[in-house]
Amino acid sequence: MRQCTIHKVTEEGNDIRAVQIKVEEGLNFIPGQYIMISMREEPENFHCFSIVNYDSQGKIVTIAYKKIGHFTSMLFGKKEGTILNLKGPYGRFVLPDSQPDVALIAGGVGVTPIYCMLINAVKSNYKGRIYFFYSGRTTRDMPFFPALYQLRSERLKSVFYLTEEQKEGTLNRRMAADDVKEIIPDYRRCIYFICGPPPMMDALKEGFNKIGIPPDNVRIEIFK
Amino acid sequence: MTFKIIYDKRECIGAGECEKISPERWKVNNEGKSELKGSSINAQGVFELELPDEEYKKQKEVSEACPSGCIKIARDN
Repeated sequence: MRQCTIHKVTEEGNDIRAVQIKVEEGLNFIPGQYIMISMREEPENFHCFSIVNYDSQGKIVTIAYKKIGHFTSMLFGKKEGTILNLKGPYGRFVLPDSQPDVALIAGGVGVTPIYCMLINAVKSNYKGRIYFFYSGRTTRDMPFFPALYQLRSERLKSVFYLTEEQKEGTLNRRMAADDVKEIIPDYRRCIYFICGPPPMMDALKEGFNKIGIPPDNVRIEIFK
Repeated sequence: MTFKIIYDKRECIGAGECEKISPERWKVNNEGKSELKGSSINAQGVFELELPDEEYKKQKEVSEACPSGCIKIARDN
């Protein structure tokens, strides 16, 4: 376990915050992984947060979260300079070394690991094609929506879903499993990474199975 | 001499330290939960696996590395 410091806090939507954390010795991680954080008041009470962004040396890493329970409510009140306890990084929700075509699917604050994987893949000239699907009720429920909405890359195709807001360039409905048949030419060979509300992940898993996507090709990240 | 791994999958958070240290015994599945190869589930819903003493040191390391504490080692000394 080591200590880190809150460097900067920004608002990212309805009860959603992004926190930049300073890690003096740097953090060596793979996009998609998470860290565990506890606060001084409850040092044994660790919670998991996906790494969203990072500087080149891994000394400033960003996490993002929605205020929904005791721990996140406490964290919401913490300001720059607050010292936190950190463990990790951990997790195996990462892109394969072989760089196949991938579908990165995010729902609401589930975008946190997906964002990191997506941005890193685009920056590092990932060999496979990247299909990004992002859904939420409104853009205020979707962290980093503006940046992702404007993200362009030759190997990237993005689809946005808003169930309670109309916006040009987005679909006004939920994502359906069948959508991948229209977007991804060889959808049965693609590897799928999904992170979002459990009902969304369950529905997509079931739907993918029905259209012949092998279960081994579908990876999910459940927030613990 | 043998020892037992006692693994509560319900508490697993998919950290992957177990797979990193002992990939021949542990693998994180597609749902972010570790699988202990060769284990069986007991009446309390916990996975158990009895192993020879030669594997004790490595599995002890796995148990200590697991951040959620869901992997325990039991040995009769």
